[in-house]
Amino acid sequence: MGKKEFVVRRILQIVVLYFVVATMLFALFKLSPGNPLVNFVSLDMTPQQMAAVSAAYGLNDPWYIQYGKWLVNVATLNFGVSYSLNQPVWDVISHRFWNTFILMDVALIIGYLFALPFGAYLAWNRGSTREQFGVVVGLISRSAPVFWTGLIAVWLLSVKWGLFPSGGMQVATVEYPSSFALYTSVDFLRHLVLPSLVQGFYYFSLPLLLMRNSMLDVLNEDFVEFAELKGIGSRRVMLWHAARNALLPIVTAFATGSARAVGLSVVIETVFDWPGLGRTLVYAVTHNDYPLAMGSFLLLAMIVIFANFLADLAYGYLDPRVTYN
Amino acid sequence: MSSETTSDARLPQETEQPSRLERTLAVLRSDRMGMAGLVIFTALLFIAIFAPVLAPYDPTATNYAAVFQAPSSQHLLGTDASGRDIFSRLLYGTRPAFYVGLSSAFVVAIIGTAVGVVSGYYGGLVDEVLMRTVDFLYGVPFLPFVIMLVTLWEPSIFTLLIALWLLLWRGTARVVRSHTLTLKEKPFIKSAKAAGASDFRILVKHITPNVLPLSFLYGSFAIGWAILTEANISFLGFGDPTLISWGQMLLEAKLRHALIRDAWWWIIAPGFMIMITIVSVFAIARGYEEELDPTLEDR
Amino acid sequence: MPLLEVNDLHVVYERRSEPDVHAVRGVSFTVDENQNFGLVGESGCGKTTVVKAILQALPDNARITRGEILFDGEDLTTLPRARIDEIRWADISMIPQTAMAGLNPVYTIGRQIREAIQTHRDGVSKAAAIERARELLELVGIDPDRVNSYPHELSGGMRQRAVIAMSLVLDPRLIIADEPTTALDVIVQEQILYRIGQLQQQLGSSMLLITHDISVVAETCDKIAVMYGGELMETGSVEQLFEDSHHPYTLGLQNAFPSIDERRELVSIPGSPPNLADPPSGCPFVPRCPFATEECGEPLPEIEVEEGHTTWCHEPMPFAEMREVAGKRETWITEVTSE
Repeated sequence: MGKKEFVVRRILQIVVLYFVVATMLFALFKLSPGNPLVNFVSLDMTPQQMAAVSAAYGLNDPWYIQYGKWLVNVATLNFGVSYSLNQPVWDVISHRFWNTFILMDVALIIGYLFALPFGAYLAWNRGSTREQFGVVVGLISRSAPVFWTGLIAVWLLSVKWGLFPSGGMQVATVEYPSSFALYTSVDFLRHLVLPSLVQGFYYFSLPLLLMRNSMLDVLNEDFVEFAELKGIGSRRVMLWHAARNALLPIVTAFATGSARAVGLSVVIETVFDWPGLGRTLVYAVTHNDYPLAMGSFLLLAMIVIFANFLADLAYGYLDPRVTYN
Repeated sequence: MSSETTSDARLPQETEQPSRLERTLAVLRSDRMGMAGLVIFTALLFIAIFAPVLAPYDPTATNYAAVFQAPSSQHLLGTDASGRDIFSRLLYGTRPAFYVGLSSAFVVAIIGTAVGVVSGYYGGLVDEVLMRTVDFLYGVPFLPFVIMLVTLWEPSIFTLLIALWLLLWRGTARVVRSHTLTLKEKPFIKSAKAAGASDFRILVKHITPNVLPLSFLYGSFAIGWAILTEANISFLGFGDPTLISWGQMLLEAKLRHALIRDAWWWIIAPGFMIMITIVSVFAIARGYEEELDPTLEDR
Repeated sequence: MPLLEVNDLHVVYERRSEPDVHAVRGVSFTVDENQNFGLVGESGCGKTTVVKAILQALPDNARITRGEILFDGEDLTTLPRARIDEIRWADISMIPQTAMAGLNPVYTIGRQIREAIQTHRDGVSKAAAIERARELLELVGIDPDRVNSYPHELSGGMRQRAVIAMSLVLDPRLIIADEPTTALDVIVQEQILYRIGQLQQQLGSSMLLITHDISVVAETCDKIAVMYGGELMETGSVEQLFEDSHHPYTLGLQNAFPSIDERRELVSIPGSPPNLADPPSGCPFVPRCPFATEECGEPLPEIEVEEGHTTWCHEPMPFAEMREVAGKRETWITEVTSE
């Protein structure tokens, strides 16, 4: 099977995966105890309104009809209307998607940017106390809960020393003409610093370890030593022969790291009051706004699925030895 | 493992089992970090078991005359917004951590190993089905799923555990399956088959023991993930509010304005406990992993 | 002037908590232009270390404690790194023991050959480099279109030929072949040896062939040096060493490898090489030599047998007698490793 067929097959698989996740959500909802209506209404609705909602959501229909409608909705990205925000769910989440996406990626890039050279450095200095120290830092990075480091960062850098804003994505009173204007404003960037650094520190450990292990493996390979015998110079060998091969697992790790990062957005965005999908999910759930919760969850799942898909593709592209079957 | 290359069908693990534990301990002993981790972990376990004896105060005892007190000889780590002794609460906090961590490690190792071994050994349809399931599990964002489950059912530690057990084994399964695939091709398995051993026997007596080190390793990692998840969930407010956990403590710190009141002891201590517990587990696992790289098993 | 001149080379590997290993203890030989030189010895005798010293690719803990390595008059041991990089591949290239030891799996073989070209020759365009790569592949008997193949897409024999092609790309003066046939089956081995011989004649380069199999050098080399325990045992032309051997070890090696031409018993030399962390003061071969006497514990003399033929041996028994009994199994098998 060639590359093209592989890609097509994988795309079909992820579409199926999406629907399976949606089905799981449906099942969870159906299996939960209590009156499902509670999740769709707010307490100040009249009984007539509640009945209308009930009918609109087909809550009285047999389960297979509900399931069918659900699948259709999910396929058309129609997640209904958010009661707490009085907006169609899709409008809310499609807008906030970008906030999550940007924060997540900036944090991942920061993490990787520091981890790769640091990891290579550790591989170089194998067995030294510097390496041990680096390993300890790596361990702390993945053990310190993000909300804790976030709290400390906010406490020190924001509350105590007033260097950065303590939360939010922008100063609330300012209106920006466009998203682009917002994302490139100094205001936004100031708000971005703490959450991305804190997250970046957390994401630092995996690529650090991977890069170090990968470099160690590659440095031992015969062909690296041989490349030097061709007289092409140590630096070229390090970059084009050693690092190039060491990067294979790193690239896929970026994609799978993204998948993990998506889930963590619920915490980070809550700590920093960042208006992204994660915070939206937490908000929706605590406010019993089920359509919003489901929509947020599914969008998050979509990102995860897609990130995993990209990881597969990337690995196949970078390593010519991978066969597509 | 010279016994792996003998061609007689005598069970390799019969000659190894006693020495496996010894080897494990020897491995850890040689890695300083792993040893340090083991020491810390054991100390924390001790605290978890003997918390009622070790804690100077009742962790739930409020004292509104002594709120937000900085650390002193009276209160080693100060008090919180309700005047409760933080040090005592920290000690009690080890309990849910171990409860969640150890049970998850166990379950993850068992399910992950079972799935991985069966999937890798039998291949075919069984493998397809199981691995597609694992793919699906990888497509589910972890924390959001836990939140959904906890909200739809009930915010108890049990629901959290179920959520963890449902998802966490996915990594173990893949790795174990991979190793099983390699093992399957080895001479000692093939000769056991030729000698007439049943699949079940091969799985239980030959493959599983050789896969156990990986299970142990991933089980250890699972402890870290589980504790972290419990902390995250509690901090988000989906945990059991009657439970004394470190994540819960930090949630309270945030809600009761510890940041503004500069109550650094309240902010730093619980998080530090989470960190040090997980670091110790990962250090042990890492020390073991260095020795354990499956490619080295071919020596 | 000889092309390569190794003079009294001593190499030591330093170890942290254990004594240093004296891997090479006073080795000298020369390789002339257009000559095939075989360096023969079992594993651990130091031949690989000699090669690494020539290529200036010794590991960090190795030191050249004495001696010089002259290539075209320049002492490689004293040259700056930049000059060494220039000499590498353009003047001295290498064929690795296994092809995969020399090929990066993520680049095509064309790209890897091109890399060698473009590093050493300024102003060569990518197209010209690829063209040259194709030429070379054809020369070694590989379809030139395979220039875009990845190493794993080629068969083992093809890969080996690909690295041979790569070694020739800059018309080097000296090609070092490191056990080039060890990893191959005998049929391919034959082909490869033949191919190397042919090419080398065509291109006029010299070859330094490293091997533990003395029968391989018999076919391809003009001169041979036999090493053991970090020292030379005997050097000379192929005819001299095979027909007029003047060393027990050379005789022992001949027995250990099958030969189609001669009917003789296969006898391997019992025992194992000496521990070079505690090098013997006399002849290193003493524990395994069937002819050794007490005087062999003295430092080895260098004896010139005739023009171009040197041996290092105390001659405990006349060499002519040694040659007589060396072919018999009992000579070796009753010899028990003492000490």
